[in-house]
Amino acid sequence: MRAARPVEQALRLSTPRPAHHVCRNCRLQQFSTSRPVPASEPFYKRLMTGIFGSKESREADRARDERQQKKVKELGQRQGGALEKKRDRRGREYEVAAIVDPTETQDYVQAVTWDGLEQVGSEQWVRERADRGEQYVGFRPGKRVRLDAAQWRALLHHVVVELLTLQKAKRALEEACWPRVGESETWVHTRQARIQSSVDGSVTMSFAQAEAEATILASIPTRHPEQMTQNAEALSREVEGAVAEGGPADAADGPKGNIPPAWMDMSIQDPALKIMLLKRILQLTAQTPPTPTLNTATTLASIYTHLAAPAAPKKLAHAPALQKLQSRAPNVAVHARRQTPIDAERKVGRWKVIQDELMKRDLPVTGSRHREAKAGISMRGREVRIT
Amino acid sequence: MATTAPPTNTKPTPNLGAPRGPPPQSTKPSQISRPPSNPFLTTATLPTLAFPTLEPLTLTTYPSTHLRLPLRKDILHRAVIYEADSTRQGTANTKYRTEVHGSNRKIRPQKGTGSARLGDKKSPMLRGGGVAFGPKPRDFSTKLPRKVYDLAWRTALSYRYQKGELLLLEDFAELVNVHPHSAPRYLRDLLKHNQMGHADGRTLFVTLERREGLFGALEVDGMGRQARAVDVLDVDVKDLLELGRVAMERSALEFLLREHESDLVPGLRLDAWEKSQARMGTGMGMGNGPALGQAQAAVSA
Repeated sequence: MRAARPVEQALRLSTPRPAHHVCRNCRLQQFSTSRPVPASEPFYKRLMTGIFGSKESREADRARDERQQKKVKELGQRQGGALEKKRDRRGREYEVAAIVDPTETQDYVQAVTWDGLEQVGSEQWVRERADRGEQYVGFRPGKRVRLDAAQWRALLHHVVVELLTLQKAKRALEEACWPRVGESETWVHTRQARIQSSVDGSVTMSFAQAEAEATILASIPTRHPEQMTQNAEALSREVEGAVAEGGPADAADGPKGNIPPAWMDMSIQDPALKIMLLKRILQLTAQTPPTPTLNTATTLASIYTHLAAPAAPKKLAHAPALQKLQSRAPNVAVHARRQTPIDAERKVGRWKVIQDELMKRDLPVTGSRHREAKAGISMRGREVRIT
Repeated sequence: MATTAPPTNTKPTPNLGAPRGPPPQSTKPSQISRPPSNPFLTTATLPTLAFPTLEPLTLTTYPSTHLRLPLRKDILHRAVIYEADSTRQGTANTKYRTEVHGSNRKIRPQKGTGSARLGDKKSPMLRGGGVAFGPKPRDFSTKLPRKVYDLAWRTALSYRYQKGELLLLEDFAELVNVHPHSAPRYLRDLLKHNQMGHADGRTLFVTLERREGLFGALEVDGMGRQARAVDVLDVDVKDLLELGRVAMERSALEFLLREHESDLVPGLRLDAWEKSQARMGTGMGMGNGPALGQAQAAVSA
């Protein structure tokens, strides 16, 4: 401490003398590098404020609760319990969740589990919120239309009459795919047409009534419509109308089965006619012949033969050859799927009893993914032991 | 004025060295015999579809030498193996006994211990020793004649065409007016609507260049189950054969066909075919009118 005295003297001379007395320790602390923090409040008081809150914080909490209760009352007075609707930055409308005060609403029961509650925050939820909502609209309809041979004949007759009518009027064939004017039922008039194809592939078409041709042309718009995609209901109605009973004029003397009628010998080597035929069939039925068939088809009969052919069975057991086996070899049973022990029990009539007994004992009837499934199996390292 | 005397009748000297045979043909252009046209050269027609509506727009034709080749499974096999070999990284590495860190000291005497004789501790027989014939980094690539590989390319495309699994899209197949956040869901809807998604065997989109919207949508987690997208420089024969169908831009298909036709004589290549079509009055795009259709009828079988 004796060494501090010269330092003290130097300090007294260099620094201005303070008005009040400064003790030695404080003088020594003048060279301290840390800034002294003045304690406005005692430590004990600061601790009490931190735990129990100050007067100001209690006032703020009280004001906040009052505002909340006021808001709840206002929402409760809203008619019919309607939720407030707002719009976000992207213009999407959403409902503000209701605030229910359990002290006031006696029948309100707080949820114990999360079943049935709205879940937020998952990756899927984030993706759905970020989605802008653009909807895909395709050219073909959503569902494939299944038709039998007679219905295909009727539909192809309807489509070909429309295309030939446009071709005869020297209008673009693309107009056949445009939405029809109003609620026009062109299939009523296309049925009246009679198509005759000659040996060289050329085709002639005639109507029973002259007004039918004009009506068909009037129902197809001449200008490019604003709404390019047709209404799905209108398309399905057109298909139903075209394939309804009482079909084309030459249906009475038409062939039966899958044999194409004579008028289908018309040539479709004209590329414009071929592509429009494909387009119109796709637009109406969501089906199209495969490209190799389209490539080699020279007449409409080729396309009809492919479209009217029954679909190949997905199971070998449903194949015609094996279906015939049932009559040829009655001692052979053909199944479409693997026969399990349950099938064997069903055949002898024992399965019902087994099922009832298992359900009576509250045991799983089928499956191996239940708690007791591997009770007798233990795995130690790589070795599996079954007890 | 002296007139030249008419040539006297002189018998032509017999050409004793010439082989006996039919008299040589006249050199007049009208009498030059042209080789007969090849009856096996037909055409392959397929519709061009708009994207993303998949609306048929027009019919496009290619020669049968490019899209109607017979199926050659052996050539496809060779090409797939060739690609797989060249794709191998070949970086597997093990240490031989000389590379294992350790001393070369003989760890026990040759005789007298009653145990087998041993040299250093790096022997493959010992634990911690080297690997006897383990893998070393090497090049696994094999060679395949260029013409065979090109034939495999066109055979794969022909196979897809014959099965009806080759969809030709118009150029610049891109998701227009679709926000990147909506693109995965929009593309999933597109694939489901047109039966091209996971339930129907997935689809491979092949474009001429990277299409940011389409490619970005398919790079999101989970979209690989629905479809894949590659550009022409990254697509392989194996990719063409892998998924349920191939949806290819028209320019991408023509790029690939031009890139892989070295096994064809110049007269049968795509450029020559285009020129012959232009001379006949039909372009590669069809759907113009009855007159053109008649010319087309003369070409197709």
